[in-house]
Parts: sequence; structure tokens; C-alpha cells
Amino acid sequence: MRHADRAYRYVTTVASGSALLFLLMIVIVLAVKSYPSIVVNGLKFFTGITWNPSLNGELIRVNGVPTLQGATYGAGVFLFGTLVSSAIAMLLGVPAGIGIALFLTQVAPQRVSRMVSFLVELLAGIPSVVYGFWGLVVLLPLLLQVIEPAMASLFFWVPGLNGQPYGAGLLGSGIILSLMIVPIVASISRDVMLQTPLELIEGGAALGLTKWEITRKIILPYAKTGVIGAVILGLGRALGEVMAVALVSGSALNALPNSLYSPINTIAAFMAESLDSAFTDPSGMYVSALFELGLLLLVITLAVNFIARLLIKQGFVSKAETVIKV
Amino acid sequence: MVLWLKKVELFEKAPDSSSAGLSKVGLDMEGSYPASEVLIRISGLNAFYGQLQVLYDISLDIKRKSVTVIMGPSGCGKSTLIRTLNRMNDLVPGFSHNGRIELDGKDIYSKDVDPILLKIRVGMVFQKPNPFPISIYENVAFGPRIHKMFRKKEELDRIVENSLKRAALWDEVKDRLQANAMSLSGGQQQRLCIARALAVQPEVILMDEPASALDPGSTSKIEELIVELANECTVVLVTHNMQQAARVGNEVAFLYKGRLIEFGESPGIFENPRNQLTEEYVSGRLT
Repeated sequence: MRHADRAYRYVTTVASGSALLFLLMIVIVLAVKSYPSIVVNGLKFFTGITWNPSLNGELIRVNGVPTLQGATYGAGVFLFGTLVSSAIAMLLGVPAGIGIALFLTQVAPQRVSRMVSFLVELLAGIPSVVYGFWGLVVLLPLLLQVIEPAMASLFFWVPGLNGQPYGAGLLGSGIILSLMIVPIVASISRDVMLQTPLELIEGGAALGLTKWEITRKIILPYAKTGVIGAVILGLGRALGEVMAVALVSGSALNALPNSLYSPINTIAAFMAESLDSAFTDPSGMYVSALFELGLLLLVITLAVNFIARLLIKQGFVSKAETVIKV
Repeated sequence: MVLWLKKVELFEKAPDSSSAGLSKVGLDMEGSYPASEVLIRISGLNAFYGQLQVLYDISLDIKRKSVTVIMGPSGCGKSTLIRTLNRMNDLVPGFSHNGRIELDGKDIYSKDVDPILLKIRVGMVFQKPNPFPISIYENVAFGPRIHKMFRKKEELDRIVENSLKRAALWDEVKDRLQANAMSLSGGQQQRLCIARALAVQPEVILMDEPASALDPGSTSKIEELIVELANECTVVLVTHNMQQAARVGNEVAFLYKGRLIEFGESPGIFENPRNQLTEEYVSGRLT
């Protein structure tokens, strides 16, 4: 028994330690590999929107670091595309996901709920490349021919919404990403809502609360932290998504979108798209710049997680005092 | 809304014995009995969870301003019975019933009765204290806020104070009304739940083993409170604790395996039970 316990202890310790080690290794590799790019490109990397590796340029040295003559690396387009497409995805996907969770836990009869839950979980298991293909074949033509022209003429007076329909672009990426995060938000939110203690729900019912009041005053406040967690997981997926976005983004380069319909590109999608050509750069600067993109994405994701933790922490504090105040 | 004003009136004066309180929340239409002794009349009640029958042909009259105790061993259907009185069972999937339950002569399961308004007239306290994880004040204010039963903050303050006083909790919490309810002891939490139920001025309070999760000291406080409450409203208490039934009950119903075995005044039912089963139960031979 004691041997078994010791082995149990060692194995689990090593397992969890290796996760930490792995994270550390990734950070080190990213930092080391992106170092040349950080030195040469400086702050312009974050503010510039021109990404020109100048592969025919002459090999030179800047601050002792080899690069190509005329090469410019500005990640602005990808940074913007990543953040805004994810924001659109959250805007569309979070209310839908929470709505589905509310339907499943509060409204639907048990049999319907079980069936829809299963379907939602299936949705979470669809490979992202399939989402991308569907977007390419179904969504983009629909956007180009119907939705975007309609929106553009309806909102002709709103800057950003009155642009040229394009199909592949910001809106398409946002919609595809939102479809991908809905199942995450919905299934986790459903699970935390189901954990609301029955005593609290009955307490509310006995006071004469309607179903909606019980949802709003008791279940939502109780599930709040878990739902925030679900939203952050969804955001993490949206920020890092490669394949689906690569297929529907329009792969913009060197130009910020001038409307909701314009082509964009995201950090993750662009990294995957351009790795091949990056290896043809004899100076190695292109590869280094891609690593810096990776580092940037990691920092964004960590920042999001940090903010989420902060929100949840505050949620716990205020839960006691104000949250389900009527 | 007229209803709103009428609810406010509820707080201007304590409810009195006559049928004055009846018209306030919409259950008063036709068929009112003349203000009789009987407030709740259960007749021929059968109840089912899916296929499983849990109550058999229960008929019982619950008197106004008294404590009616429903006692019996675990699983005898006493919780199910009390939960039909405010339609809490509506929440349970698969629950069905037949027979009739009247509150002041009005069938509470009839289509024109709003289950929400019914729950304002018939409040409930549960076995496990279930305060909301918010402040003591907000717990008591919860019902009045939801049902918009006050016009000014001072009125709400008064409702909260009166309810806490009626639940014998005011002196212990008056200096920390903004503290979280979860910081109270179990017994205090249960009295807070009673105060929360009282805050909407119910005519009936249903208590489903309200002291079974509490220590002896807290239990006797709750029992005193129950007796006290019966001066102003009608209490229906479910318990498996015979001594408790004897201590607080005016009338006691003995339920066994879903059937009403005996119903009579206390202490008569304990001293001279008419039924063999009741006799076995009160002498501790039936569990």
C-alpha cells in the first residue's frame, strides 16, 4: 500500500511538473528565437502595418543582427485582425452560448434538453478545418451576395458598415469564430447553471419568483464566475484559431480593413500561412519575426486569462454583497 | 395597479382574523366560505411521481391561526403533502395529483389561480436553511422587492425590521444587517428564512422539518417561534419528531405510507390514539 501511494505521488508530481516545464520551454524558445526580431524591429513591430520580408534584399547587419536590406516587419494588421475578429466572435457567440445554456437548463423539457446538449457537444468536436470549408463554400458566398450588400445599403450612413462587400474578411471570420465558441460557452455555462443548489431555487420559488426572476436573481448570479470562465475559454479558442480563419479571412497583407467586410488576417493564421516562405530568408529574420508574432499571441492570451481571473476574484467578493440584489 | 396598492396595504396593518386579507392577492373570487375556522381544506388528494403513488385519498381540514402538524416516519409522504399546499410540486417533473385543495374555499389548482400569487399567501420554510448569499437585509427584502410591496425605502426598512422581529432574530442582527447571511449560524439562518417568508405577509406558513438540521438550542427557539406565529397566521408543520409535534401542535395528523391514519387534537392523539398504528408510532414501536 505504502509503495503504491509513493508511486502514485511520484507519477502525478512528475506529470504536473512536466506541464510547468513545458510551458517554460515554450516561453524560452519563443523569447530566444524572437530576440533578433525584437532587437531590429523594436516598437515598430507593434505599430507598423507593413510586412515586407524583402527576400531579394542584400544581407546586412543591424545592431549586429543579420537581416535583409529593406525588410520591414509590422504586425499591426495581424494584431488588429486577431483582436477585432475575436471581439466580433464574442459579441455574436457569447449571448448565443448563454442563451442556449439557459434554454437547456431552464426552458427545455428534459428530453429535448438532453438531445440538444448532445448536438451542442457534437458541434464542439467538429474539426476547425471543416468549419473553414463550410465557411468558404456556404458562408462567404452568402455574405458576398446577400448579407453584406443588404447591410451596406441598410447602414449606408454608418462608417465601417457601408463598405464594399467582399465575402472573405472580418465579418466572415467573426461569424465562423463565433460558431466555434458557441458550443464551448454553451456547454460549460450549462454545467455551471446546473450546479445551482436546488435549495436556493426552491427558496426563490417559494417566495413567488417567476421562472425568469429565478434565472435572473438566483441562477445567473450563482453561475456568473463559471460563465466568465467559459467565455474566456471561448476567447482563447478564437484568438488562437488558425485553420478556419485562414480559409475565410481573405489573407490581407499590409492593409488594415476599411470596413466590416474587408479582408483581414490574424496572428495565428498568418504564422501558419507564411512559415514556408520564411525559411527562404537566409538572414533568419523572417522566422524570428514569426516567433515574435507567436510571443505576442501568447502574451495576449495570458493577459486575457489574467483579466479573467481578476474579474472572477472580484465576482467572489461582490457576490456576497450585491449580486443578487433585486 | 390596484394589486400593488393592496399589497402595500398589507403592511400598513397586521393581518387580522377575518377574511380581510383574502381579497388582496386574487384568490377570493367565487365560492368563498364564510370566514370559517377552516382555512385549508384537502379532500380526496392522491399524488403521484410518475407512476408511483405517494399519497392516497388524503382529506384534512387545516384551521386558521393554529399549528397543524403532519407527522410520520421518513418516506410517508408528509413532505409531498405540504408541498402541494403552495404548489411547490409544480416544479417537480412527473408530479401529478387529483383531488381538491381549497384555500378559503377556492381550489388552488384551478386555472384562474396564479401560482405566484398563491405563494405570496402561502409561504414556505425548508428543512435546510437556504438564505441567499447576500446581506441579511437583502434576504428579508427579497420578496417585498420582487413583488414591489413598498413605495419608499423607509417602508422597506420597516418591513425588514418587523419581519426580523417576528422571527425573533432582530436583536441578534440589528447591528449587522449588511453582513452576509452566510455568516450567521444554522439556527439564525433558519430564522432568517422564516423572516424572509414573513416579509411578504403570508397567511399560511408551511414548514418542512424546519429544525431537523439544527442543534437542540436552536430547535427550541424555532419551536417557540412557531407557537408565537400561530397567533397571527396559520402554520403547517411537517416533522418526524413526535415530541416536537406534541410541543407545538394544536392538531396533529399522522401519516403512514401515504395514508392519513389519524387526525386529531393534541395532546389527545398522543394520549389516547384511536388507531393501532398511531399507538405504535407514538410509543416508538413504529419507524
